[in-house]
Amino acid sequence: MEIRSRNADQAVVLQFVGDADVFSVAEVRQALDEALADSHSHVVCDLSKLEFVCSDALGCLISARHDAEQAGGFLHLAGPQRRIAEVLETTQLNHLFAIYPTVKDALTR
Amino acid sequence: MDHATTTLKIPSEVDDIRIVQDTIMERMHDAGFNGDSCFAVKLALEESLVNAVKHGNHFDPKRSVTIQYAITPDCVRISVKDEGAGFDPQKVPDPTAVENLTKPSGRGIMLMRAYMDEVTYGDGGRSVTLVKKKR
Repeated sequence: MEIRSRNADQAVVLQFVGDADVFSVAEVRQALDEALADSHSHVVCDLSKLEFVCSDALGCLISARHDAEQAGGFLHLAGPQRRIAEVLETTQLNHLFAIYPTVKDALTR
Repeated sequence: MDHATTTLKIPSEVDDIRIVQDTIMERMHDAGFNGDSCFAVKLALEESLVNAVKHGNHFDPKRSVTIQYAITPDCVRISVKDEGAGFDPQKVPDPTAVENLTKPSGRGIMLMRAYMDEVTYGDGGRSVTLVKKKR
C-alpha cells in the first residue's frame, strides 16, 4: 500500500491508499509513529482510499490513538469507504474513534 | 466449473499467506462472486491464516499450515489447519465489549464470524472451516 503524509492545520494527515493488510502492517505502524512525532500527536487518518483493513492494522490505529491521547493530542479517522466503515462498525470501533466524513471536518473538529 | 477440493500447504511465514489469498481470490472472481463477498472472504481468510501462522504454529519453521478450498456455484468453503497445540475459541474474549475496545488485538475470530456465513472450529482448535455463500 501507499501512505501519503502531509501537514495541515498543525496536524499531520496520513492518507492510506490500497490495502492495510498483514503485509503492510509494519509500514502502517511506522507511518503512525512518525506522524505522532511530527505533529505533536495531532493526526488525522484519511481512509477515503483505503480498500481493505485487517485486524492487525486496526490494532495499529488503536495503539496510535492511545499514544496520541496520552500525549494530549488526538487521532481521528476521516472518510472511510463503505466496506471499511462496516468493519469499524462490526468491531464497534466506531464508538472508540472519532470518525468524520472528510479530512476537513476532522481538522476542524 | 471446477468443484474439486484444492489443497495447499505453506510454511509458517506471513509472506506465504499471499499466494493462498491471491489464488482463492482469483478463483472467486472467475466464479462470479461479487465484490462484497470477495472482500469478506479475503478478510476472514487473512485472519484465519495469520492466526494459524502466528498463534497456532508460533512461526515455527518445522510446522506447516494446510489449506483446503472448494468453490461451487453456490459457495466457497475453506479450511485452514495448523500444527499447533490448539485452543478453545469459546474462551476468546469479546473484542466488542467496552472494556476490550482499546485492546490492539483479539479481533480476528470475531471478524471471521461476522463476515462468513459459517465458521466451524475442529481438531481442538487447530482447524477452522469458513463458508461463504454466493449472493
